[in-house]
Amino acid sequence: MNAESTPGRDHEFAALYDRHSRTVWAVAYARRLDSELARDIMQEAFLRLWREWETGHEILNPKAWLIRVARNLAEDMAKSSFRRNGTIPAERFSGVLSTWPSPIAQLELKERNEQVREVLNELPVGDRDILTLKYALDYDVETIAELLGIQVTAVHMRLSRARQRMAERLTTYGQVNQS
Amino acid sequence: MKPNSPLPEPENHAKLQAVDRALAEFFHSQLPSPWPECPEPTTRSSRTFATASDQPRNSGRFALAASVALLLGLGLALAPAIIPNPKPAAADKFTSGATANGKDLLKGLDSDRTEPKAP
Repeated sequence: MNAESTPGRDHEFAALYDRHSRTVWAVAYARRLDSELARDIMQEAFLRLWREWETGHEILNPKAWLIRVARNLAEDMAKSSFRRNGTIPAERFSGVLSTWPSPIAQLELKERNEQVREVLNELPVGDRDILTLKYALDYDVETIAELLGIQVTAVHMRLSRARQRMAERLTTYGQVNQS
Repeated sequence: MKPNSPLPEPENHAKLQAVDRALAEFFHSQLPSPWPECPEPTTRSSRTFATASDQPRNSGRFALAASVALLLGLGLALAPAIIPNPKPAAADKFTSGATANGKDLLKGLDSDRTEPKAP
């Protein structure tokens, strides 16, 4: 079946994009902690889905397929990028929204974000998956468990562990008050 | 309180709430805004996946390949001018006309031997 010759495929593709593009972005973001790169990976995953359709391959579970492709792309790129560049300085990823009221507020946000990113980098990628899905997309633990193919109790456990770890590390930065 | 003992519940709860706020602020600042549109069908097939970080690698590879090709070309062009043509080994009287059994070499040595002159 050729995707170009099937008008319904356009609508199906757009519907899949609306439903899953944020999740696919989150999976890529959790691996690279780079918003723009995660966006590129997300779009590439969807393009590959379209190409699969063009070549006549039927994808039985597009959501799972897209997540897997995004994971693989992010991990492959992480390896090659690390070989080329080593670790990427946090400053490169510290873009802030221009709607903040003052340059001081922007600087404070930038510093806080760099600290959060640094601590996130120390966490296992599975924990970052959960944190990204929860805090970027506001998904509940049941949805996260279903997306990642793990038990709800495992999500609770990892989430609790990751938050505790974040609390300990951010306390040293002064983001979380020491008591 | 021991250093490694867990925090009292209200204290820990406050810390975790602060972590939740920090994480929500961080992740929401990272979400693309506005969210990228779904690519149009006409452009989907023609797009390629190239990020900014790939560009230096590709151009670097091209430059390396061009440099190697240039060096090889120069080497081949200049080789006849630098390296003299090897002369035939006829000047070597020992090996001229010799065979692998080594007897011919002795002939050369014998003919080269001269009688010592009387003082």
